[in-house]
Amino acid sequence: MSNELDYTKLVAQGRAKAFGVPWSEAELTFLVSLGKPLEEGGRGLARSVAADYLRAGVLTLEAYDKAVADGLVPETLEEVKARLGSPQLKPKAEVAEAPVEPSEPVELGAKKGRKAK
Amino acid sequence: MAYTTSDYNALTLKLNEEFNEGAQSAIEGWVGKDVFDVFDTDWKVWTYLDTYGTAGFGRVAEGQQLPIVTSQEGDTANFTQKRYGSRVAITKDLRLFERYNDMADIVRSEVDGAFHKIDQSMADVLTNGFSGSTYTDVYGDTVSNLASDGVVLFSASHTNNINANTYRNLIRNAGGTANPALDRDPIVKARSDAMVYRDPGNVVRPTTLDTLIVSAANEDLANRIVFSSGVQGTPNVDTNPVRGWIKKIIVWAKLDLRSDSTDTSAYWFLADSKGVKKTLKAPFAQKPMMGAATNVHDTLDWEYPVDAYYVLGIGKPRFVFGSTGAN
Repeated sequence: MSNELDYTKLVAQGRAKAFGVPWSEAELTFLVSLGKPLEEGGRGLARSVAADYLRAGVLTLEAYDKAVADGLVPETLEEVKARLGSPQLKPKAEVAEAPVEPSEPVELGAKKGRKAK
Repeated sequence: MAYTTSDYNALTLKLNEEFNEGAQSAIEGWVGKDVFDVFDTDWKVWTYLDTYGTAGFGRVAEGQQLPIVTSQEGDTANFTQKRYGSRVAITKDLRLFERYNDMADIVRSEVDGAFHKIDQSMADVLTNGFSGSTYTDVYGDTVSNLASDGVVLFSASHTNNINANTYRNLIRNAGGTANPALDRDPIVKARSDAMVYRDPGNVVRPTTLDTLIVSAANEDLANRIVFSSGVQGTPNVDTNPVRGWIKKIIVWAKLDLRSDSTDTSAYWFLADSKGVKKTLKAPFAQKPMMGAATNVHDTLDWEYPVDAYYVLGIGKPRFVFGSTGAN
């Protein structure tokens, strides 16, 4: 069975751990519990925020309460991606960001791909 | 008279008849087709969309514009066709000595085996639907057991893309213990859990669980629970409402043993007969068929190819509930 899911959406909404990586049943149960209102024993968190805490290693309500008391602010998914950006890709990215000189207007009949002298 | 290459067509016609008769017989025993939505498709990649329901129907004042019902963009899954097949070899010995009975047996056995394997692959979707994110199917492939919401088929916390609401299709008993053994109490609890399903717009859309799916090992117990005139297993003279709720018991022998040889005979499932085919999808680009023979020059076998294209997918999980029967 080949189920190719829309992981981009699922991860952005905190409904999957990472691209191609679903939450385990225990993680999902905890994620849901974090989202429940305080009066129901939860912490009232939005799902995407709760997901950030799970990715930071918080897996119990006690750990969450301690993390909050300690002032832990988990990285968002975008921050994690930015921090873990590939070093091999970075030089290429720098080259791509280098200012590109505007090309000279091409005269009719001129050869393509050659800069005007 | 021995079959020669000039007899290709004649033998092919005869063996096709054997194949078709074998297929007809195999399809009668194909339990999965009563549970899965088996349909034909031309698409290699069949796209599934679960919109979780639209929510525009409401009070409209005189002269007011009718609200637009936007099909809320839900969750998607793509099911990609895979090819399965084999070759039936009619050897020169079989042809030379006119062993037509053996030829027919080989063809019938192969088509029967093909449909049984397809049936097993379907049963494995249910029996592997409780944990992890992938499993190894009957063909040795690693396949996903997740629904389009990224959650395993049977879960207490299926999600949607609109809000934080969750719903369950994991059977529990009245005490809240998940995966109870087959018994009257969890059937009653699962039925009520299903009937109060609330869509993301908080509209109650009852799921009516009216089909009990069990392994061969549980056939007797299932019948006693459902068809007892009183409450099964007790001297209680109360009526047995379950008898009116469960319209059909499907005994599926492929549930007893999973492809990885795990004993899953305790697993049991409840389904909504009107909705189960929205949960379990089986698009076929080509059902099993037998092609024309090829003369293999180094053995002088005549090889008849048998192949099929299909894929299994999970749609809306809420129409099937499951339990491993472990508790």
